[in-house]
Amino acid sequence: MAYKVDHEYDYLFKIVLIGDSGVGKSNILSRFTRNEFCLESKSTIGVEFATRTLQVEGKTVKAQIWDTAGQERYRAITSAYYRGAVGALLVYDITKRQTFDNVLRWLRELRDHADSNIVIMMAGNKSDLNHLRAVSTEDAQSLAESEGLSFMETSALEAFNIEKAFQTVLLDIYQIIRKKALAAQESASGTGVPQGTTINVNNMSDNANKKPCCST
Amino acid sequence: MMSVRVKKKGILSKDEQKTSQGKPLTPTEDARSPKGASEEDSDDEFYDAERSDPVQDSPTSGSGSTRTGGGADDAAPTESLFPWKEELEVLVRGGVPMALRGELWQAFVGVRARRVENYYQDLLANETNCGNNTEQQSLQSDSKGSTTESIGGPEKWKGQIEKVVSSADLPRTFPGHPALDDDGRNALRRLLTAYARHNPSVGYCQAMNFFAALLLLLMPEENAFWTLMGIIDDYFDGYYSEEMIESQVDQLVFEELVRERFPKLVNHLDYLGVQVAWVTGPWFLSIFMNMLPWESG
Repeated sequence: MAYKVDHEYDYLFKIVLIGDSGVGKSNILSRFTRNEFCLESKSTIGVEFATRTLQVEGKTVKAQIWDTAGQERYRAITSAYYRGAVGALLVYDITKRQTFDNVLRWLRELRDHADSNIVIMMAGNKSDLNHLRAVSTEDAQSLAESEGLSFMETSALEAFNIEKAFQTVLLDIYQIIRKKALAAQESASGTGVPQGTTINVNNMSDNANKKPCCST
Repeated sequence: MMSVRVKKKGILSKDEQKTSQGKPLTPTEDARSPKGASEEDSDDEFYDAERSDPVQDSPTSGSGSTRTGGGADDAAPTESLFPWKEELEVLVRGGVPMALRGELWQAFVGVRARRVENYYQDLLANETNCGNNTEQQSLQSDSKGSTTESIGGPEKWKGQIEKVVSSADLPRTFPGHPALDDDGRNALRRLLTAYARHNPSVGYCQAMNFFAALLLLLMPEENAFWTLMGIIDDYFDGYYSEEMIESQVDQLVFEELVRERFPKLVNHLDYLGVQVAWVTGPWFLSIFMNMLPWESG
């Protein structure tokens, strides 16, 4: 969803939050966009989203964060949500091994439904519950390396690394886009890419306005 | 949509239940013609823009709602078998008094006819080993059944139910209503667990918690189980299953309706890159439970 740009911001980046049910996606969203945390939050049905505008390398970037239901069956209806996403925060719970083991499934999900250039950050959430830890930082680190992901441990409760995780993702996206813009500029021998208009990341935005087919 | 499914079953009492479920859809119908707008007060603000027939009561809304009902499900002929259907429909549309909802819902869904002695208790009793009882249970054993869910193995919904039960969903889902206390939470856990074992192809699906909890507030636990079973197995068959296929079908149909009735709205959503279903999907999945003031359900 990087197609609609008006005067309020230079870029609009769509980022999806994914990961197993109960790992804390909704709280990461509320911490980042509203600086709120709710220990007893409702389970998400379908999708919710919120935005926050921030500065990245001097540009005004509007981050539109999509939070989806983690329960596996909801993937049947949430796969369309990946459309147009330029970033993903793949969340697991450091106190629940299963949620970490499922990271690979989520990666496959992203490969199947999202753009191949999507920037992925793996987040080991609930780092405040270190005494219940079931996934070592080293394990996560090596998985992240082998899969080519960024990685951070986070705590939505303590507001630890949440900001940083998003900042990192947004910066990565921005740099990819700038690189593309520059390349395009060169190949078009300096015609210049209009600032503040449609951003095209591999046609990701192309079908943003179209209806999905039934199977998605 | 829902009504069609219900119709297919051809059980009359269900049509009535459908009427109340179908109610939230009236905005679209209202747009077509000024009728069927006899919702109770709490609906007022929600339907504001649409309603052209202010709380007009029985006479007007009588003919209105009957026609609306007939329009919603084209298979009206069954009506003849059920002489007081119209009357009942009018009453239901007028709003079932809060105090009677528990009773009436049970009646509509046919709790008495469904009830099988000890079934509920048996479902809860086989805590660790395989299911062993009647009918549907033969399809599965409670621990094996859920292996169809690809990850997590046996009864993987346990954790999800636990999350719901331990969270404070309930007070916020039904504001103004006394929160479920510990006993209530335990009842909710049992209710959802029993249903998951009764129908492992559904197990537990996020969203069921909302109406399951509401049922518990309105009726005894075991009755809530039979009502929940009636709602999910008959009215929402295929809605909460692994593929959630019926839910998707409803959303596509609904989107078409919105496209037809509110083109401007859909154009705007298209412009934003938002599908109607992303907004309305949760409404349907929770049977409008945490979207409308719950008095209007």
